[in-house]
Formats: sequence, structure tokens, C-alpha cells
Amino acid sequence: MLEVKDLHVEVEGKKILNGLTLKIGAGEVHAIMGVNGSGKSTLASVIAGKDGYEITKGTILFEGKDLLEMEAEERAHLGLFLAFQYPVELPGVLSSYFLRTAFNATREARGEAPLSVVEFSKYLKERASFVEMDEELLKRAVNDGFSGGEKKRNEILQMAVLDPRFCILDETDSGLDIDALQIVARGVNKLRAANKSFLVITHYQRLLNYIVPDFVHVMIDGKIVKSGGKELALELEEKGYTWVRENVA
Amino acid sequence: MLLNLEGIAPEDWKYTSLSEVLSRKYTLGEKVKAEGSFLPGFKSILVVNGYAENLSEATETDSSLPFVKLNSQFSPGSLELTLTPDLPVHIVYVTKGNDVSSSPVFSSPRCDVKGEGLLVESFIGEGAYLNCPVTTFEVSPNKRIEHVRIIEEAGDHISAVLSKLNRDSYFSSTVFSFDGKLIRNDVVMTLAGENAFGVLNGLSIGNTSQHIDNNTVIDHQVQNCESRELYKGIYDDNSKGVFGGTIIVRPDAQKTNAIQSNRAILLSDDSTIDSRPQLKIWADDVKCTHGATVGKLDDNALFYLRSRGVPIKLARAMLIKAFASEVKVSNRAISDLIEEKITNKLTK
Repeated sequence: MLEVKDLHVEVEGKKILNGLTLKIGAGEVHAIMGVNGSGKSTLASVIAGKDGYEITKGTILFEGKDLLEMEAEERAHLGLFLAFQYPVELPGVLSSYFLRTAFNATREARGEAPLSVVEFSKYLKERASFVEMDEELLKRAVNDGFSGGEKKRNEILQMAVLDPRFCILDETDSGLDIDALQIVARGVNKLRAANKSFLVITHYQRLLNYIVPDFVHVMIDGKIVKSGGKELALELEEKGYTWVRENVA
Repeated sequence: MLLNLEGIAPEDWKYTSLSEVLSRKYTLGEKVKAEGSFLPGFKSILVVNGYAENLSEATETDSSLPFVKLNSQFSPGSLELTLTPDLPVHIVYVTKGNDVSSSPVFSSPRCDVKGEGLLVESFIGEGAYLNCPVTTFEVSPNKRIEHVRIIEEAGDHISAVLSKLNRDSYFSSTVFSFDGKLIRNDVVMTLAGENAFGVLNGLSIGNTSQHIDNNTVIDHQVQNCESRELYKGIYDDNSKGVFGGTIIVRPDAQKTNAIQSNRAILLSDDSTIDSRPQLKIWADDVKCTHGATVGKLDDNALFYLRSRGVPIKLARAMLIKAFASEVKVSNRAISDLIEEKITNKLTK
């Protein structure tokens, strides 16, 4: 589904990604673990199409299509979704309006008829209850004055509504207490399906107790240095990143 | 005729040049026919080139503003208006200008308002002209007046909104500056009676080479009054915005509470804003705050919307409208109309 090949990325002349290669198949859940500054969030931003990154080498293909040639919104229309580490507050933009606009823009890009306000409102209710989330969040401006937990829940709710095929969770666990973490993880698990893939980016193993990955990759200095099954996360938790660094060297 | 302006205070016109306005030869606006469209449910009054039915003789104001003096000198008469809470009033001012831009029409409508209720003023026109309207408000003790002004001029607009708030009164004025080559609004609010509460709000949306200048003065003369001020601006192309916000707190005006904010976003590299907040405080037990921000559209917010599939043009429009939506009008019919006008202006 997603294939990252020998990706080199610089920000303001500084090398962040150094030949990263990653292949994610349909229905798979991959986790990328790494310390702060290893380039995890840069990878998420580059896949999602954020400006400000210079791709000096490499490709990112999504179902064979070259993502790097596309704008962020075109990637979203293909079925890509990034759950932000720091969801942006949009005061004055009502959540339901925002989601309907995003949802219908995607439908139109795919040549489908947009949903009416009434149709969408019904759909929104269904999706919110599917991921066991409170609709109250949708009655407010997007993330405006939300707590950290509410913001992360809102990301998952948006994910449920937009129904993407490839989801990146960028440090979704950061700043969450255990209750909020469980709510978020439950939402994600509900959305797991044979045609959907996930890339879970995290610093800690904790999240992976709740969202159990098929593959775990360890990232150091802008590339993946070790890959394995879910047990790698536990090993890493026990032995620390230094262990990987020493093993690689 | 040429405009003979006396008493121009250079510091009040630092960022707005009058050289072109003063160099042109004007012809006085005449009584002609025109039409306006009115808000449903409002009492409608049509003013054309300063003329309307039942005008009274314009009285002198105690304002020293040069364009107010000019208005008094040339105004065909004053529209005396007593508002009532049950019937809001909508005045549409039409200026019929000249086809020849070198000899524009000069128009000076005057309106004096008292009573209690809601007044909406719309300004439209065609051709070349300079419109210099003056509207005054006397808010009696315990009364409440709301004022909304929508500027969509074809020519230039140099206006004054002068208000005096007496004891326990409330006044709010919201000025929407959309169209007009040169727009200058002098908004002066005097809190003259205790426990008065005054609000000055404004939203300016400029594009092409528009110049929009809001020069506001809030004068706290007595104690225990409050004022709120929020002026926002959105500037595109090579348009220019100016904000002057003076808050005066006189020696007797203890326990004054005044909050002022001026925020602008610049959508292009060639648009500019000059913001000049000024606090002149002579009392010691007061609470006054002011803040001014200028920025571009937030890149992170833009990316957030786009990453959800919202196309860039629409994403920008959503963020701009969200920014504009903070300047609110309580009346539903007006706020719907304003929203429509904002959308139109932003897609021009």
C-alpha cells in the first residue's frame, strides 16, 4: 500500500532523514519507535505533504502513485490521514462544518456526489458512536480550548469520519493519561480493517500494548536500523535505545 | 470647488495622504433619484447625495474634526432620528458620482440620532465622488443604542461617527469597511456619564489598491465607565490598512476599564498595515489594556485543513472567515447579510 524508498530529507540544510526505506501492506499495522529528534515526525509530515521539507532523494509511493508529486489535499483524497502530534486549534471554524467540507471535498475529488447537511449529520452521528466518542466535541470550534486528551480524541473522531485507508498516528499517546489513551486506542482498534493500514509513531512502548502492531521498526538518525515483530517493542522497552545503537554499530 | 480644510492635525493623517483628495475640483451633489435595497422588517430611509425627505437644518457639532466642519458647511440638512426599540432603522446612503473622475461629486449627508434601538447605515454609490457623512449619537441615561455601518462605496469615503454616552447608557458601533477607494472613518466616543458602557468594533477587508483608515478615539471623561474596542483587518493585493486607537482617561475618570485590540492579517506581500494604539491616562485607578497583532495566515492551520482534504483556496477562505467572525453583530438578519458580503468580497 505504502512504499517509502531510500528517502533523504533536509530541513534548512540540515539532514533529517537519511535513506529511510519502509514498506507497509494493506491491513497491516506498523509501529516506528525512536528517541526525540530521530526524524519520526518529519517522516509523518513528509508523507502527509507538509511544506518546508526538501526531499533530496528517494520516493514515496501510495498504491503505485507518486505521493511527492501531490499536494496535501490530493493525498487526503487518495485516503491518507495524519493524526497530528499537536492538533491545531481553529477558533471560529465549527467542527461539523469543517468535517463536512473536508468529507465532501474528498467525495467530489473522487467523482462522488457530496452529502447534504442532513445526510452528513446522520453519518457523523453513526461514525462518532462507532468509535464510542462524544458528539459534544463536534458542536464546538475545531480544537478550540480543548484539553490535550480532547484534541487527540478529536483526531480519532476525524479519522473515523473521513474513513481513510492509510493512517499515520504521530505520537498520539504523548500527553495522554491512561484513560484517554485507552479511549483513543479503542477508537483506532475499531477502525482496523483488512483494507486499512496504520503507521503508529511513538516514543514509548505503552501505546503498543493497546494498539498491537504487526511490525515494529526502530529509527535512529533518520533511518530504520532494526525491524521485527511486536516483541521488539518489549525488548526495546527493557533494554533501551542504547542497546539498538550498540547492536547496529 | 476645491476643498478648503482647516485645522488638519498632521499626526491624525500621518498614514493617509489627502493630497489627491484636496487636489480635485468637486461639484456639489444634487438632489437626484436613486434606489436602495433595505433589510426586511426595518424602517427604511433613503438618502441620495445627502438629500432625504424631512431634513432639518444641520446644527454645529462641537467636533473639531476638519471633515466634520466641511460636512456642516455643505450638508443639505440633518436627518433627525429618534430610534425606538421595536422598529430598527436602515438608512441607505446612495451617492451618484460623476463620470469624469477629475471632477467628482461632493456629498455630505448628516444624521443625528437619539432614542433607543438599532440603526444600520449602508453606503453605496456609482461614479467618481467623495462622500463625507457625519452621524452623531446622543445616548440618553439608561438608553441603549446599537449602530452598524456597512461601507460599500464606489468612490471615496471620509466619515465621522460621533457618540456621547450619558449616565448608565450603552452604545455600540460596528463599522464594516468593504468597498471604497479611500476609506477613512473617524469614530469618536465620549463617555460623559457614569456607568456608561461603550463598544467600538470594526472589520475592514481591503484588496486591489484600497486604503482603509480607522481612526478611533475613546474619551473617558467620568468615573466608572467601561469601553471595549476590537478592530480587525484583512488586507490583500497592495491594499493598505491604518488603525489609530486613542484611549483618553481624564483625571476624573477613576475606575475606568478599557480594553482595546487591533488585529490584522496580511494576505499578500504588498499589503501593509500601520497600527497606532495610544493610551493617554491621567487618572491613577484605572484598568486599560491594548494589544495589536499583525500576521499572515497560520501555515500550520492551513496544513491541518489541507491534510483533511480541504483544497487550499477553500482552506484559506475558511481561516479568513473564521478570523473575521470575531467581529459579531447580534441581529441575525444583519449578521447573515454581513457573512454574505464577506464571502463576496473574499472571492472578488
